[in-house]
Amino acid sequence: MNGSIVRHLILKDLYLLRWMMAGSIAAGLAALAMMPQGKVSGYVGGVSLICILIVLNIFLVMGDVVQEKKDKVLLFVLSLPVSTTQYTVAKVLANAVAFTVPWLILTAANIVTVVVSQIPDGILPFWVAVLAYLLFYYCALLAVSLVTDSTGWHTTTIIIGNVSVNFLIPFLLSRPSVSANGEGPTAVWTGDIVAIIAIEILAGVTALGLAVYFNSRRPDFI
Amino acid sequence: MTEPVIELVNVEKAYRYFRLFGVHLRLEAGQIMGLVGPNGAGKSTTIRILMGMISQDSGEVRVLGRSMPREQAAAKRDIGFVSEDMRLYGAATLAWHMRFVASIYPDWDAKYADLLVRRFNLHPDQTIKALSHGERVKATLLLALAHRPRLLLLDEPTTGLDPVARHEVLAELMDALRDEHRAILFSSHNTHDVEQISDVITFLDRGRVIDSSDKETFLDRWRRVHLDVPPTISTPVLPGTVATTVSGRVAVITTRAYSPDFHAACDGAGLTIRDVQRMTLEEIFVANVMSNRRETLS
Amino acid sequence: MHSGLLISQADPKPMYLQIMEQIRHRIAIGDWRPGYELPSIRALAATLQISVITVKRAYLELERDGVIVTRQGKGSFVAESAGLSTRLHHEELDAHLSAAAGIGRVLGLAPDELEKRLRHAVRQRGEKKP
Repeated sequence: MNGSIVRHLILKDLYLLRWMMAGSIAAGLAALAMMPQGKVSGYVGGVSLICILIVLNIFLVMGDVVQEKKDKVLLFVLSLPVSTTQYTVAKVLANAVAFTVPWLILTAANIVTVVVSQIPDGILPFWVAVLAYLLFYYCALLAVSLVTDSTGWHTTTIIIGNVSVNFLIPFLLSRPSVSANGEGPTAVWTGDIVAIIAIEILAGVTALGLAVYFNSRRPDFI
Repeated sequence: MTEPVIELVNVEKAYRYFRLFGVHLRLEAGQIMGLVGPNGAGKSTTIRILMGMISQDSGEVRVLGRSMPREQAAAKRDIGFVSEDMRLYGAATLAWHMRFVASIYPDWDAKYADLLVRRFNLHPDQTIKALSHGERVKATLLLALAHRPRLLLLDEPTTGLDPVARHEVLAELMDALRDEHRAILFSSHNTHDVEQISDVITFLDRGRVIDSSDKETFLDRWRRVHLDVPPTISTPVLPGTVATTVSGRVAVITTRAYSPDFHAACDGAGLTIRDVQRMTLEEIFVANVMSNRRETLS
Repeated sequence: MHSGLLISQADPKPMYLQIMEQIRHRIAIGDWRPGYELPSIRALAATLQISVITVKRAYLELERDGVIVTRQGKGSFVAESAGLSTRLHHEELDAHLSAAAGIGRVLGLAPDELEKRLRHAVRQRGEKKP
């Protein structure tokens, strides 16, 4: 496969998404800065961080992938010397980079914030599990957008995603390791938490992989 | 004999409520083909199949010697595509789009691009969302023309344009054809434009090619003939008749086979010709479609 | 090179005939002299914004009538035949007279009535000259 056109398209997308990436990183860092300030600001900062990553997720998938197709901008891109497969690969890669880079930065910043500040390190496994779930949520929404054009299904995925985050948090907090060690000074990485994180990441990658595969089998690109 | 620029052989594509079938099409270098058809006839589908954006269910599609959709990326290096529903990135400027396209096509002609900016009266620093419909169409056409593609595939390029913009666009298209190695296929339901600049015309209706011929042949062979019918004949029968209207002893025949022999045939049948009228492409098209639809019903 | 030719879509006459007529006229009035190189088919088509095939047809028919000559790979030129300009002018005159005769018939005019009208027209033309 000629990589040059794919590279051009990825760079083009990243250029067009630059403010979204920068904005979410800036907002996320601001939320993180709030977290060590006290109980209430800890809540607000924590919830804001989660929201920012969800908003980035939705804007990237709905605003870029789905919108480009709805607005028929994809006809312009497809008029270039690119195959439909290359278009999809470039789109998925660019979009994934646009989410994953801020996600990685904010996850790392989150870890640093917890370790460096007076927030008990014991909460770290909980946070990593939450953040990994948000990555899975992104992969799932992107996967759905690749497999169907139905706004109904997109909206359903978003609703399920948001609601599931609400259930995930108390579920994680009730995990014996988190409830026992969450307020403690050391991070305790028990098997179940690690397993949860691993499943989240694996599920995300698998969902995306399957979606890309099924998307390539779709007979009508347009 | 050089390879045709476009060749469709028995192309079929089925959707739930629409079917494209038995489509044969051929375009040689140096030619402009006008694809004419009512809405829903399959013009856009055909053009998108040519671009590899849609995969045909069966049949062969070769564009610039490449098999589509398999070799679409290679073929598109030499194709310029404009579609009426196509959009550019609203938040970006025309200049950004020009730089982007130029970075992809090695054959991008910057001088020609600047010339087109002036000819089309465009302002490169304007964002796309600030452009009017006509300006946007011209911008998209500029991006397609400036890398000097061998083939231009245009889906309704003049639809919705004011007369001045239309004139600018047609002028550029004809200018591109000064090079006899290039070719253009454009779809339109503006039969006026098609009649003016096409070399070859293909009529499409309800997913089928109902007629395809060079323009002059169409205009030569189709006539409306006014006849006096003697009382012994109820309905005149003549070769190539597409439609007949009789009122009393006057008949008007629409024929697709007008030739010098036609007059002899009329004499032989005892009919007196009162008047022979040429038909515009629009009239030919409507008569052709109506006749074809009647035939498929019977 | 601006050919100065103009095609009207409002004109009921087919486009290729319009082109032929205008080229004939230019030769008749001496604008395009014998040996003059006509614009290439594609160049003329682009300038007039009409199909190449239409211009091709016009050139072909003109060549058939001996008005122009096409040299392979070189282009098309006004024929060198003597008196071409005059001949075309005569053809133009005959075409006009034939049209006049046709209208006369429709009006039911007798031939000498028509002649009278022609003489009158000639006189009027003579008076108009400064």
